Amino acid sequence: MSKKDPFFKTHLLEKSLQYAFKNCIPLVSTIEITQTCNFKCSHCYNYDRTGPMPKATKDNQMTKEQVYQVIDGLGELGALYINFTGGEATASPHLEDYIAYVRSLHMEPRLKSNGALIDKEKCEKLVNAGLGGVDISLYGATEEVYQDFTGIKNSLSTSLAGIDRLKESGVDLHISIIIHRRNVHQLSEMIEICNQRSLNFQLSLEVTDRYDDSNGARENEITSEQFIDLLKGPYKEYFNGKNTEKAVQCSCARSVCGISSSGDVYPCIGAPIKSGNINDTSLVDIWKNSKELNKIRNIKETDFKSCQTCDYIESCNRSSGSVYINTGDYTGCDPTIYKQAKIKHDLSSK
Amino acid sequence: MTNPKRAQHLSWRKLGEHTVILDSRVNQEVHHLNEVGAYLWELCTGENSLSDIKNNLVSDFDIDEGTADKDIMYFLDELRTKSLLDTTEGTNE
Repeated sequence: MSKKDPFFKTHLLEKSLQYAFKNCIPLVSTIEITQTCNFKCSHCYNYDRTGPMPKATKDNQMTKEQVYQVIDGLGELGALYINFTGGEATASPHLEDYIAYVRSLHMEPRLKSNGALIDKEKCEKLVNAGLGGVDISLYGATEEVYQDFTGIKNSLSTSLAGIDRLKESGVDLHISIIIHRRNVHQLSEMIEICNQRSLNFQLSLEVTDRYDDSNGARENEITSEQFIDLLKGPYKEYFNGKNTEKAVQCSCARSVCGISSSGDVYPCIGAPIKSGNINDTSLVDIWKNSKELNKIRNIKETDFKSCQTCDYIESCNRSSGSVYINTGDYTGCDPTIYKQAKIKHDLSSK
Repeated sequence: MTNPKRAQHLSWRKLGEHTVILDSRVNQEVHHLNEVGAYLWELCTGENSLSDIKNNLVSDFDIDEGTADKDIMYFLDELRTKSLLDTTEGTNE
């Protein structure tokens, strides 16, 4: 206890994430609490939402008690952020209970949502339960484009109403603008929606195959021509980021963890490598002993063989989870991501 | 004086030798507490009076009362500066 050993130091979150990465603490964890969704998005990675929910998916969803067990396990492992997702997380009748439980364990409950089910009453319940933050996906700037993507009428106005309620409540609110083939021409308008409301936003081009192997999701990916337009357009700085450190490793199975609605444990919710199921083994046991998770933790940069010899690595934004979903090879190369990296490289070289 | 109580809607976890406190009102920043800071933080439940906290600190860290008083005041000032203490009316000592 001296001035050389201060009680307090304030750091960027990044430093804690680095510690968690090094020591395999799932600081940022995501739980799918339902497969039910009020939208039928054509890019959904869960399953083809134009049809009914597959019986196995419907029947194998975690019970409320099991979700509590997962939260307990994550608390024991040192998680700080617990992100609830789905399906549509706000469609779960237990969401407020989960949020309150996470808060009671001194962890940070957050939510990924489309916002459309967050009416005044729901918003109050979420905030009163202790919700720490929300990330809302935005799919377009007009009702026509929104409906084309979500399959639901008036889905833009209901989503915006949810966003406005959350903003008014003071909860930490972020927007993920999901860019796809049929909304990319509305990027300016989508950014304007965020700017008008003084909302932080990020842009995402990522569309993957579905976890159930059904086809169609990637038909939403932007074309090469559209990507070139983005790189030359008014928002090019969002897409021209460089990977100067030639980084290829993700936070999977180290500082992040994902638990599917059926209780499968993944190295990340975006990398559906089944590493155990909480119906058979406790989450803590799976996290510590799963051979799949340990294999990922032991991957070295040199194991990304195609990346090691790639001329475009400094222009590449690969995510191992997405590459795994699309190709089945966690350390491999996705032709679409490769093509985008090459386009970025060629344009920046001119 | 009001018993010190942690502000609502904070999250915290032990991370190695430190405790990290997350305040979602302050984006992308976390506070790290050292071992003694983490110890005092756990006692700031609103249930413990300043003298309870002092007695615990003296007993568990083998320091004299004067040093304990100074450390506790310094720590609580830091918490107040960073808006990490509940400022609503609580139990009085």
